[in-house]
Amino acid sequence: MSELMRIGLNHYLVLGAVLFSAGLCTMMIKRNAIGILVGVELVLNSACINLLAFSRYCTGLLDGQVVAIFVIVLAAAEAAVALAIFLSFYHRFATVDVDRGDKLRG
Amino acid sequence: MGNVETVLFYGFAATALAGAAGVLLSRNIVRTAVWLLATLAAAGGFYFLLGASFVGAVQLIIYAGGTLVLIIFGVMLTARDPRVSFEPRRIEIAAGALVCLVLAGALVWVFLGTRWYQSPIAQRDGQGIARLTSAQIEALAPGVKDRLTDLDAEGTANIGRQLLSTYLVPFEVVSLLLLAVLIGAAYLARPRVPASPKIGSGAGPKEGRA
Repeated sequence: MSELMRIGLNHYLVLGAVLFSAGLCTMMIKRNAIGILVGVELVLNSACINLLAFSRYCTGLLDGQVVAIFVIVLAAAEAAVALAIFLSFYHRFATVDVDRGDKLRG
Repeated sequence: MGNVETVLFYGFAATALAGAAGVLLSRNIVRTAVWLLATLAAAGGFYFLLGASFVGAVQLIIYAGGTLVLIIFGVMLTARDPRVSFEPRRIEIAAGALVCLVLAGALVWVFLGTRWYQSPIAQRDGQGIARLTSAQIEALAPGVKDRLTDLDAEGTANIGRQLLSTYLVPFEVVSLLLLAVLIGAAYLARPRVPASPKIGSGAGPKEGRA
């Protein structure tokens, strides 16, 4: 019980693993393109949590924090480009259902 | 001393997991975005709890403030009816849930079975600059607490120093990437309607009048 009450690295790692799996499952299940993007954000956040937990409990240096900032910035950039693509997709197909974008299927 | 941290951790964990479950199970895309806000805010709380106050602030400003608003704008621009739902097939749900449960189990098993490297700096709890948790700050004597604000600011300053020395090349690459994203997103999102002759003829008489 004291293991559970004394917050350590493992708590954050387990939480990150669960959030990662939830995000992956969201990406696999959703058919709405924006829902898939939300799943990607969940995955990136779980990665950030792991980075900061390792930074705090393993290295004790700031590198994890710097990389986490890069991850957050890249996630914002990725969301902007993805939404621009979805808008373009929507103009063409009048939906954001990713199953409709199968023109290149052989 | 560890009690506040424990309570905060489990509170944030409950919020984050509830948000993730909401994202996963919600059929309505607007509700999905709102559930994501809960998870993002809780993740920001974790960052503060881990002593990374600057990253926590960045998370709240960029993620919860910027990216989420962007997503909600995307929802509004791409849905004729915001309540429209895309029902996944049952076999897809089963496959996704199975894969993710197996993956989560495997990850947790590996994480808990590994002996992680621990540097002496990280073990020296409470001595480091930006590594104090809010619970530890609460437990400190007032004189120490006053000095801590300087130390905490120095931790953020050290992030800036690292960005402009060790991580200078990634920093510059990211700035170029942001420029490319700015132009690329504006290019991709522009309406793809061919220039209609109406616009030209509409502008014609105006010029004539002028």
